[in-house]
Amino acid sequence: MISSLKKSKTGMVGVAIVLLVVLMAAASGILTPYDPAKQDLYHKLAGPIWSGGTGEHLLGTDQLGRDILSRIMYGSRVTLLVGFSGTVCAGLLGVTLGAIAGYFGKWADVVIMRIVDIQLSFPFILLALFIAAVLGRSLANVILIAAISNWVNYARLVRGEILAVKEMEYIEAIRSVGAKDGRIVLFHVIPNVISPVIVQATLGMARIITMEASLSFLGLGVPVEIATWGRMLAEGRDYMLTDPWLAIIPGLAITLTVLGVNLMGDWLRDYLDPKLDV
Amino acid sequence: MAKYLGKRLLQSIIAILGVTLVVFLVLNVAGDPVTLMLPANASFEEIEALKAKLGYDDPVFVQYFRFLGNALRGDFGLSYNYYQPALSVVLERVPATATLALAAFAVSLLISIPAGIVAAVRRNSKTDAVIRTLALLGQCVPAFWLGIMLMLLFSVKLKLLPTSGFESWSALILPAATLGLFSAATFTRMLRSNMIEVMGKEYIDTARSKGLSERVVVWKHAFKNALSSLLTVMGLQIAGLLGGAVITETVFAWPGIGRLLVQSINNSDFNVVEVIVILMATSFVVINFIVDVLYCVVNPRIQLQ
Amino acid sequence: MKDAVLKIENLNVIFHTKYGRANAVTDVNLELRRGEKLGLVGESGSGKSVTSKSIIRLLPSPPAELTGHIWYGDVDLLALPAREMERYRGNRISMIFQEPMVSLNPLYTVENQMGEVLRRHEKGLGRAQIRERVLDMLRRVDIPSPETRLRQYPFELSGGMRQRIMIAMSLLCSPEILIADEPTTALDVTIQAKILDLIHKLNTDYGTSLILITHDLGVIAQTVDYVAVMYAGSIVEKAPVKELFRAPLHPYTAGLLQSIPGSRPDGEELAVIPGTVPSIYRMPGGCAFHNRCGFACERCRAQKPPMTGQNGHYVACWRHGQEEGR
Repeated sequence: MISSLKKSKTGMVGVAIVLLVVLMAAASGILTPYDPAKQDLYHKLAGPIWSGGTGEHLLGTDQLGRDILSRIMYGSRVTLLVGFSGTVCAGLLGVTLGAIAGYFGKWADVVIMRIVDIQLSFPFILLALFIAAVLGRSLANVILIAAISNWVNYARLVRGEILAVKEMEYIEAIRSVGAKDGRIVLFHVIPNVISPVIVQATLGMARIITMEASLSFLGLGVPVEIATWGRMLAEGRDYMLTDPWLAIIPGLAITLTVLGVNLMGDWLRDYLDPKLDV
Repeated sequence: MAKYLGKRLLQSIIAILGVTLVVFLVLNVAGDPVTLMLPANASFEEIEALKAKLGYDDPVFVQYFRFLGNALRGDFGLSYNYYQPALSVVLERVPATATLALAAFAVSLLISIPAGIVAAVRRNSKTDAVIRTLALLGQCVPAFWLGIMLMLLFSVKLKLLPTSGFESWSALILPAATLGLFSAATFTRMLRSNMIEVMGKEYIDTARSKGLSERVVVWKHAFKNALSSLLTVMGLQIAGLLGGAVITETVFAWPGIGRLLVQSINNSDFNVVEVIVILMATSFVVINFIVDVLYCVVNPRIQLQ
Repeated sequence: MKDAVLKIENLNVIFHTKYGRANAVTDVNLELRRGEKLGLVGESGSGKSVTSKSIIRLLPSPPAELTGHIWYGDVDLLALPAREMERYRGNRISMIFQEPMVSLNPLYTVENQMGEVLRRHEKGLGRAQIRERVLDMLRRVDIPSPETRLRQYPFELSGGMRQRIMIAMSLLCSPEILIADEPTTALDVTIQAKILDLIHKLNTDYGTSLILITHDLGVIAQTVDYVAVMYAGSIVEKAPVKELFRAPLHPYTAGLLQSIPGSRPDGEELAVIPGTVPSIYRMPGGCAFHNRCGFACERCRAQKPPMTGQNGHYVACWRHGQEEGR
């Protein structure tokens, strides 16, 4: 795995970016220079160090004098927390529903696949906004939204694989010699779906990160007191004419993170499934 | 073909009904619209009285069919913010969104078709590498940031284009570019990989062996085949555009239904939210149906069956 | 040889891939005479398809790098600019492919795909004239109710029918050379025979020279006049067909002949050549066949044998080079 990573430059970049964000999240609270919520109106709207800043605040301060670097570091926690737990929840929900649909078939399959169809008739962000509107703003709700709006792909994957395995003749054969369904799922279904599910999960995580940022940007994500990249960008937008860095820095943070996760996903796909040579 | 399309039509109708059911259930059962309508200090009796008056104590399915019946007559209730029928509040804004989405779609196709084809035909060249990198970046940049950066560059620094508004054609350029670039990135990647697959097919060798020029081989024999398989994912593209419109409109203060949706959510104007969600989902289902019809038209195999 | 319509001189094809350099074709020399039917035989991966595709330059470059000369008259096809080459393809030199099921474009009618050839190479023909020429050609390849076929799409036709259409399409401009790459492999045995008969008949009627690529020695025996046997990218033996079947000189050719079902008396097992074809990424030194050859000696491992022989029968093998030397 390591040697495959060494061969893929883009994969290396992706993993490096993701590691950097993880380090940032882990170090916030320890290495952050300031309290992200601490206002300092005497030093508000200080530029970053390369644009008139003093060095006291490496990336400058915002309209309330809060330190941008600290807020970016704390913001990465929300990004990672939502990205990771949203993906896990979506994966669990999707795999379970997909397995039920594929395994039991009949009406369970019909109902679940109808739900999938209906869900696919909702543009992704519309669904997220709609749920956010009804449920209100909280971290748990954002994760729930991520799960609800992302489970469909996993369900289709797992259902498809189970249906395919059911069709195979050797499954009939091992069943006839007394293999239990649980065993078949464990040894014949899971090994086949694990790679596509992992690949789907990385690409899904990138989507969830963008979604969280969009919701925060629109003011419908986590409560406004919590520092998030999307929120910082929304606030920075009002100072675009005078202090463009307020909007540029958080946007860069989001873009790079999403890029890193996507690059990692592409590399994982090549690594786990070399047949897909595109 | 008629049989297939009939089946798809039925599926589309079921999907739209499903959407209305979900929207209704979420808003009226999970949420509590009556409490939202009254001031925060309303007493329990006042709430109950209003519930009875508006029919909220009827069984859920009775309420749903009443809702559906009203919806079919175009009655979605009043907008609490504008004191007008919710439907007309929304319909007023539809042309703005339609203009934006169409312009963005045009931008997307104008960029992605040449880019995807060039990248596939010159596979592994420098041009291909540049196009692939840009497409990947385009997929990673969130639409709202891209919009702000374009605004920063073209309106603030270069002072070429207005930052917002709806008055002139120039006001359309930045929002359409923002929305279009995002969808162009995905479309370019898909078109490239589809073209590469098609260019490896034997009928492309046949076309070349006939002495046809590379232009005819690429456009007549390869592109049409790549496009016909791309049509199946066109629906998702359009979903992306509709979704992206919500964010782009907010960034550029574009007076369409996307911005109205965000405003209505913030103002708890749920009747308007309801109309917009149903309208967007319905138009998405309808567009997907049209795409399916197109797919049949392009594909002789389905046409004749 | 004045009557040669095509002459391949020192053709080398190298693929530059991410796995490294692959020598797909090495030092191929071959001649096709007017009206002759030439067979190119070998296992899959022996370079026979690459050689045939090189002639009309169908290999994408990069990754393919072609060196040497392919003379069509006094024109070196390999030296032509791409646009010039297009005028020869489908016009003077045509090709048909292995898989008739996928070698026609699924989105266009038969008339469209066939008419395209005439529109390209014979400018100025009217719609009606084109249709007449296409119909005429469909009749010549024995396609029933050709008028109906014109409006049909490939998926409405059977494999044999599609291959007939491919043949008709390739002959529209009366080419001097027809290259057929495994034209019958994907078809049923009965259809196979009919398609071979058709190719045979067209060769006799029009004097079109034929290059037939196949792995099937049975097809070779029935169809061609002269055979070249390829192994691991090189020609190891070439001879008139009867001569080759009567007295194969190369151990590989001999092995191939013995592996044809029915080549041995009843009850005797078919011979199988031990080992596998070497990877084109890692060609052994010396004679490419030495690790599978029962007669291999030190010299075979060290040096690549040159092509020697007389009276049209040539072989690249040290055993025969030595015999001649004595």
